[in-house]
Amino acid sequence: MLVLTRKVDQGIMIGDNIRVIVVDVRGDQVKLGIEAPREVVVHREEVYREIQAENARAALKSAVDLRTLESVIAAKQPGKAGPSRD
Amino acid sequence: MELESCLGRIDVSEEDIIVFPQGILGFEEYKRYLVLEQPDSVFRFLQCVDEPQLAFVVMYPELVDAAYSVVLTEEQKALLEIEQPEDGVVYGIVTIPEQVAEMTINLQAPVVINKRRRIGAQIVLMDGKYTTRHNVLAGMQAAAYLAQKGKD
Repeated sequence: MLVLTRKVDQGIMIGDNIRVIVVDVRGDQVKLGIEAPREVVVHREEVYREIQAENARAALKSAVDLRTLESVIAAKQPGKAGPSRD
Repeated sequence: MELESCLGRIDVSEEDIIVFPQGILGFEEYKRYLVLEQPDSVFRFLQCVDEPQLAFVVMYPELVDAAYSVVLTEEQKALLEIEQPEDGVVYGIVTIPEQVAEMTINLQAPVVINKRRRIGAQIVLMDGKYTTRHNVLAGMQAAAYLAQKGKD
């Protein structure tokens, strides 16, 4: 990993069009400013990883019949007949 | 163009394709999707055009949380080219585990589509109100209960 030392208001360039600047440093918190093209997604790493993992779980592994999902819902809805209604 | 989708072989017309400039998180290399509907179902498929094996089940988040709303940042509006709120359609991605009744919806990272310009993005809400896993059935029951109560 490349490690660089920067002061407040100093930045780094990643390629030609991504700019990261140190906006503020307080104790163990660093505030960063990021300028990137629209098509580049910028997220906090832990959020990015969590959503990536959830998307991977959600991506269908096999064919899903929407009618199966509907029947599970119908069984649980108030006012609709279903085997597991309680 | 023909596509082997999760609803079988379908004919795809160019004007139905929704372009996700940033892709879906974790699947960034795929940019083109279709929303496939089935009559009488609250669920839809978000079917990838570039990779026929890739598809998600989606649904309207407000069916699970009646108060759900999404506020877009200026950057997100610019990316989606959304000029008025009516341009946007919001879907939540549904995760279906082996126990189907335990299915969850990701309310923290909804899919927003500009239906007029056919541009989409998965956006991440940072206000801490929502998580990636809300139980669909419990939410729908609560929403139905509230709707019923409103009528009484």
